[in-house]
Amino acid sequence: MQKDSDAFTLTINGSIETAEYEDCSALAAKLMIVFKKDKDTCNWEIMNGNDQCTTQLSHRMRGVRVSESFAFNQPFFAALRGSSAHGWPQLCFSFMGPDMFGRNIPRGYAVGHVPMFPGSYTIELPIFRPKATSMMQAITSFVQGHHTEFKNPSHSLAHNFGRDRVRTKTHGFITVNLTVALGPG
Amino acid sequence: MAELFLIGQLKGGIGFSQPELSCKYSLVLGEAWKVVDGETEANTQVDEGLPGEMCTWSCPIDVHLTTESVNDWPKLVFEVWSRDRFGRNDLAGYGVCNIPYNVGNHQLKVHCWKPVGNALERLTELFVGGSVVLKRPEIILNSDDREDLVTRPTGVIELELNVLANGFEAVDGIER
Repeated sequence: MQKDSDAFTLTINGSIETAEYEDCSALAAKLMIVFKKDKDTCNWEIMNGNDQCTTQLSHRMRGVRVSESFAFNQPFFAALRGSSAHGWPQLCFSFMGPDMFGRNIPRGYAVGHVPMFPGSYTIELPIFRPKATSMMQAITSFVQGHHTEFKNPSHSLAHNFGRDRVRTKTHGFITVNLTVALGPG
Repeated sequence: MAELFLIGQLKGGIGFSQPELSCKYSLVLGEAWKVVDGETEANTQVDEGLPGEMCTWSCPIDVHLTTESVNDWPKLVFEVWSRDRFGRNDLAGYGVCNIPYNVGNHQLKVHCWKPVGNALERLTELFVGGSVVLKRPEIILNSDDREDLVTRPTGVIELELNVLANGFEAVDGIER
């Protein structure tokens, strides 16, 4: 349990393990650790490590739950310092991969909180992708290769407002292994 | 003054008959409770799930509350809406969820229901669409008033909630 006035450190050691995603030949993931900062009541800052990491482009294998599976095995590390539990860090993923013409297109997003209690975890997060608003836009984006995406994914994913205008479709899952430690600030 | 942190995620809905679903949630607080930081209500996006799997909302919940009393402990109230292929929004279920008292990580499931109308309304719903909704939504929260209501189950909302509490030793009515 965290006291509001006392700062504490959160150490995250993790690895982006695998993903399953339907109808896609290759996939890469980008991770952003998003937290609330620069507020009087709560401020988080990164002490060590990185708040971003990008995986390699993985080719597909046969999937178990959906048609294709991908392996990344990409480790990441971050040590954060927080003053309040509010604004707890979230793992925001965005995915991209080549389409049938070899153009790199956005493949979806996933978001989840870093576990709040020390321990080792395997987290599975669903990957969803914004849909085109009309049939016309769907055709244009397929031809031009400019697909619907979040302009500022870390902001759109880590907050709960402004989502009601978005239509999405779930396409797969990402699996992340995490070890979390808490310490005094 | 005691503090309560509710941090988690509205993960998604499973078992609903309609494929495209969105959810509106709000945190209902008593008079003694105050919001320090965070949003207490939100609308999720409309998501189409994989066949037989959960539809994804992945909507973060992160609220910092203070209270002087443990009365009217917060509750989460949900309204699930479906969207059909003509773009019409229709009620897919109501639900309510108690926030656990104990500190820790909680995986919660909310079994949703929706009112069943009379024979004519059911026939209209089958052929035209559009379902009966509650005239007084406060009935979702009340423990009385429900005896005349006829409902049917629609699906399950899954959410993850971490509860952190601080200073409840000093508040009347609860011992830790």
